[in-house]
Amino acid sequence: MSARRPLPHHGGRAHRHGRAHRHRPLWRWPVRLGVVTLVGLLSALLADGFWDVVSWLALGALVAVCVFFGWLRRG
Amino acid sequence: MRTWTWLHKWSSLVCTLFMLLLCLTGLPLIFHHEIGELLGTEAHAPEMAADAPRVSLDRVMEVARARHPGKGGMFASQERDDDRVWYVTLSDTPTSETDLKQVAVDARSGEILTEPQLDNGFMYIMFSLHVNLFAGLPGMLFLGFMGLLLLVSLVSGAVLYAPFMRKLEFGSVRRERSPRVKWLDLHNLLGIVTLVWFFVVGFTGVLNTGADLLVQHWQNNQLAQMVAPYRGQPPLTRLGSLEAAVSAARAARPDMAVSFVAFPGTSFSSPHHYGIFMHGDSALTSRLLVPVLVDATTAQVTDTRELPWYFSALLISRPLHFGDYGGRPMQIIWALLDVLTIIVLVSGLYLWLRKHRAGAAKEAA
Repeated sequence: MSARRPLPHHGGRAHRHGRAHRHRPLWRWPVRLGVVTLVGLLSALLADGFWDVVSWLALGALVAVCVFFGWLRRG
Repeated sequence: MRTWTWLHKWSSLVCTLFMLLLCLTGLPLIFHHEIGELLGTEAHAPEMAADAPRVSLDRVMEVARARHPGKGGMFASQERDDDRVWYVTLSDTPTSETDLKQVAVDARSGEILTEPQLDNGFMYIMFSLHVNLFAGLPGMLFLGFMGLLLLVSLVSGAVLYAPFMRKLEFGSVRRERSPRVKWLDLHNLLGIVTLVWFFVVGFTGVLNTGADLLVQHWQNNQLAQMVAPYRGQPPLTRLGSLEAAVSAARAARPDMAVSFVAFPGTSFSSPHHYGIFMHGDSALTSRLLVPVLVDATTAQVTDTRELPWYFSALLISRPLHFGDYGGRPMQIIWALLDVLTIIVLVSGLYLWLRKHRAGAAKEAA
């Protein structure tokens, strides 16, 4: 496949701006989930008790997102 | 983009079958304690008062050695969260690599609880397939290289996520279209959601394949410096009390507990020292080790230092690979994420086969 070029070149700053803007919705959830993963991986590593629960919720959320979009949601 | 496509295709193709093997064998390893319970191989310390007196470690060694006459102590270790059991490893010489025996001894009664099998059984097969394909260090380094390819395939896969998803909402799976489209969408969805987890587990796995080399580096540097004053001394004819040595180490590091003791002559001690490795009690420090070297004759502490950063980094990275640091719920989530990555691997392979076959059909026409 070939990636369509984002916007025609407008020079440095404008170009970067346009690109970032275009990409925001596409990457919004992947980036959020990446942050959730890191929080989940680190919290139980650095502390116990309450922070173990934070880990379960964060990493469990990844599984939930996969199952929901992958299999539960229809149509 | 063409470069990324090429990278994703080839890095994945080369490593996929090995990664499938690692994901499948890793699944039972997440639950190795629970499976040990089922197989009846786990040591069970009977209930006693928590402050029940401990027998002397010299007695523990006597019991273990009597079980395997002719062998000597190599290591004695305790689980991080259970100081009621000593796992004693015995060998013909302190540097033997084969014919090791292990005996689990109750620290309070001195009775043998079980004899863990180090070189046979279901978990041994899973462990060897996961760690070195029964091929020692070369096998381990080979899997490390496959792990590096996995990281390349994860990064290139993440880059390719953008062009595929440009017109789609996050999480869309086009079920009404062909199976190929459905599985492409699932591959992208599961791949992007598990991306960071898969990367961290893959990366820490690669780090672990280099563990032997890192540990050797430490042995040749810090450990060699710590035992340097004893160089050239005549070998010991008999070992002093292990109980006295461990007491001295505990007195030197009163806030820490023993992780394992390396007997004199092993690669974690010197011919004249017990190498006693202690761990702390917080979430993080329980994963780190502090070596305390104790003269094996006089039971004097001769040196204790913090491990260098690279050794500590290795120790910290290990739970991130095993998922053994957040109790049962975390083990279960780890297994579920593992299953999801298996689906990513299989669907990737399926998509390649479909495309490959479609291409071949077109050429034939």
